[in-house]
Amino acid sequence: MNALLAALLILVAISALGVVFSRQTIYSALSLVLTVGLLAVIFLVLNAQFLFVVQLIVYAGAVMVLFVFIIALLDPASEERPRLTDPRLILGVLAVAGICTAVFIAARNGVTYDTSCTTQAATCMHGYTVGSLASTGVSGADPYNTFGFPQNAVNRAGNVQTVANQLFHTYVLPFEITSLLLLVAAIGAVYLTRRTHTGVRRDPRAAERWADELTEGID
Amino acid sequence: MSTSTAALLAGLVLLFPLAGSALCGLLGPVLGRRFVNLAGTLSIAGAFAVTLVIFVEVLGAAAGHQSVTATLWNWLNLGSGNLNVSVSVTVDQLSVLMLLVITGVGLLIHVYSVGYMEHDDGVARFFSYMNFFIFSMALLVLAANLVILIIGWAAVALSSYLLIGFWYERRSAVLAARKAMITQVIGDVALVIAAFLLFVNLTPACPPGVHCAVIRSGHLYTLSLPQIFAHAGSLGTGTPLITLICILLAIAAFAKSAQFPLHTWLPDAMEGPTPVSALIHAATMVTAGVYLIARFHALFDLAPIAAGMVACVGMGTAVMAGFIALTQQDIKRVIAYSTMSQIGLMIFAVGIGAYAAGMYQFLLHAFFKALLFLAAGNVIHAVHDEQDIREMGGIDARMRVTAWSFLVGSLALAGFLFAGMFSKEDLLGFGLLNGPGAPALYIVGIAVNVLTGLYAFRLYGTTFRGEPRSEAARNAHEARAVMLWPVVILAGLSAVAGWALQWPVSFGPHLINAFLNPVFTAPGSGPLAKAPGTWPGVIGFLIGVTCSLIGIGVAIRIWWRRDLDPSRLLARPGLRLLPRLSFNKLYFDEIYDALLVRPTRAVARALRRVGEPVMDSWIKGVSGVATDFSSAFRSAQTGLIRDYASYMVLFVIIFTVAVMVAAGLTR
Amino acid sequence: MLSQAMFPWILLTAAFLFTLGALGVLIRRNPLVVFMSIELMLNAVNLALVGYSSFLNSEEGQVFAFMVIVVAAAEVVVGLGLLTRVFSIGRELDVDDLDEMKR
Repeated sequence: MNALLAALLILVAISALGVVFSRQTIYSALSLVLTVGLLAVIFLVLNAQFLFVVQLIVYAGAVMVLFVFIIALLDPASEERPRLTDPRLILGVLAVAGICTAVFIAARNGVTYDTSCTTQAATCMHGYTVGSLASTGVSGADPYNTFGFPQNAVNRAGNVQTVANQLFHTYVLPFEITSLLLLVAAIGAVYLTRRTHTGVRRDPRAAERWADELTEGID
Repeated sequence: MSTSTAALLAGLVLLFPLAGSALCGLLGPVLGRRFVNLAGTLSIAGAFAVTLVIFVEVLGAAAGHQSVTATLWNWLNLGSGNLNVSVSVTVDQLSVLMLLVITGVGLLIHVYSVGYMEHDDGVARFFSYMNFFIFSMALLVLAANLVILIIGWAAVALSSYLLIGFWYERRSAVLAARKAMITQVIGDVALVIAAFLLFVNLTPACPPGVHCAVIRSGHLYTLSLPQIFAHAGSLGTGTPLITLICILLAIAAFAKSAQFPLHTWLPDAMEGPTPVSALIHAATMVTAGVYLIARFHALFDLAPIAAGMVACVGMGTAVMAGFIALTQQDIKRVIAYSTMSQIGLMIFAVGIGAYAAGMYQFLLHAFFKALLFLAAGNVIHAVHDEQDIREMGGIDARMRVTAWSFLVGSLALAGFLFAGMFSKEDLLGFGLLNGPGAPALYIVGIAVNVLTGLYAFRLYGTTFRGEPRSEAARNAHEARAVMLWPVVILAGLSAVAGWALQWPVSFGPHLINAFLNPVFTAPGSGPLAKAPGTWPGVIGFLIGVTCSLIGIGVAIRIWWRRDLDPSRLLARPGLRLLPRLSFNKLYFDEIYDALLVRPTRAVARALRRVGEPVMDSWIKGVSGVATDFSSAFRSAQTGLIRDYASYMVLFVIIFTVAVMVAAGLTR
Repeated sequence: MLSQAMFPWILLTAAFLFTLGALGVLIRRNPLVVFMSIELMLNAVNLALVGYSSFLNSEEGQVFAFMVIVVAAAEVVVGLGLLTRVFSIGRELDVDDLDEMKR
């Protein structure tokens, strides 16, 4: 399993490079689709089956479709490469190098989690009392175990049930608020893209008119 | 009278005008002219009524218990050995006499003002200021603590400033108000320095029978007037210290009473409305200097040099002012110089120690001077605000009541038949035996009588007699009732008061002396001025009256009957200078301008040229730093989101690495 | 077997994706690519969250990742709507050109 995971991680990294560095916008979009898909598989490997499905349906299936649509509609021109001495490029590369190094070293040294963890993951719980893998009473023959991956005690009742349990009990308020958020976003999208007069012309001198239009309905 | 009664009555006398001032000032513009007229006059009427009550109480009090000091409240208490100021009042014969004049004559003038200001839009402001003046003057004369006195002193100067400059759209009025204020401030400074000296140097003097309070190594550190007077002896007799203090007090008195050399503000103060001139510059404020010296008699008795200086200045001013009054053409200015001259006589009287005589002159002078001013106000009103007497004439036929009243006032002023005859001869009589170079000042005094008669009847003759010299004079008609009654009442008082108070009509002690002398013979005071004996007194009286008559007679011949022409007399070389000197007020304004005003202005200009760039650069430096900083930071707002993202990324890097290192990255 | 040894690599990949997204935001001028870089960053966060959830045996990470997906979807909708507007009034699709927020 580690080998599978490692391969997936490498592929994700490569496709992410494709997102950022492609000349054509559509290539970036397609790379992002690939990235998202690969990430979904990684979620599956990490025993987050529910998220695997959600990621594919929402991200790959809706958000990226929207992106591709817009790219097709807007038909932007390709841009020139940034200069090598562009300070932002230097800063960005510095960010990549620095943060990645820092995070990796910190993770290797156990900084990002309870430092008393020296044994297997199953016994390292921040505030959760779980025994060793053996004590969870799970084995490779658990029906909810996909692909024979090691089971987390937490998923004993099944991933969807566990996530749903959290979502509708402990985190019901954020859940409701996010539904409100979605409503607001939908309304906003409808409002922003309405047609205010017949035919939208490409008019370079329409900046002021746009500002007036946007503010005329707002008091 | 108990202290609580005294406190209550004094408090009311102070409260009524203050309330009137506030009401007129705050509600006047809202509630209209009638309210202002009512509120303004009723408040003074109330104060006058309370003053009458106080007067009755003082009269009825047992001998030796007539002076009451009461504390209204304790204002400032910085601990023993430090400044303790309580708002305390002294109710005795001196203060009640002053209060009677202030509120009584003040009431008459307020009534007069109702008519005088009927066409003026600023009437609310006027009555507010007038009431405030009455309050300040009352505070001044009632004060039993030097700090409170200084407050009243300054408030009076403020009221004078506000009222002289009442018609503030007139540049000349504003300049006159400013001139008055600046001159008064000189006096204020002198007064405050005197207070400092007293505070620091007063130690207990222990005449037998008086209880001593010793605090902090012997010094008293008090500014309470009764205590100052009780322990004044500790400052020594004739020492430089007491002389200095008295000279400072005298300077303050001169500034307030328009005596030489601080007299230049009074003629210009005539820019104010006539009721203002009557109240402030005739009857009350200018007499505050006389009151000050009288109140501080305990100190002046100990400094004969200072007292002598006061007497000389007073008499000198009397002569000078009389001389100048001979050639002035503005009716109010003549009366103003006359005031200056008469107050000079009062100052002379208190300078030689004849305090009661000086206050007697004050009382009668208040009557006839206010009368003259109000009657002049009637005349000015009648000839449509013309104040030049050369444009008048023949008014006595057209304004009979005013003319007769003015005649009574002029006779009182000149000192024949009415008021002034008694008071002036009384104080001049003291000059026979007291004062520096004893009869010398008396002789100058009777010369003043001549001058007084001259200018008083010149004024009457030119204004009222003869043929009208202008259209306005021809059409003059008598004033309204509300402006006439106060004039008549004052004329009656001028005529009668002298006779009544001289009861019994002799040349010995009379009513005023009997009333006031206990104040000046209190324990701790010096001896009173020596009164002339009966026969010297009679002869002095007769000589004085004769001189007045000489003055009157010459004036009548020159200006009434016009059968004597002074220009021929003065044609001789050397004498020709005199009229010009007189008309130009002895060039005092020009001298002060050259000596004081111009150099000060030059210094100010030089300082400004030097200092302004320095100060500007400091302030601009501060603002410049802020501006430079902000423009440096502003350049970071490019509007490009890529730049903003860069800033975020930069700090995320720093933060992440820092946190990791802090948490032990390289464990 | 999913072990403690792989966890740092998961975190590293997440960090790499995140900073790569930041780099994309910084150097690309096409707003659509910038958007996609932002999506990349969000996904990196999700990866980290799920990695932690798996490693620490806690489902809270997955719940939070779920919320992130929801918010990301909403944001994409609104953002692309705005971009469409910008395009329809004739402005250039270039973040350097859309600098009305400057001083």
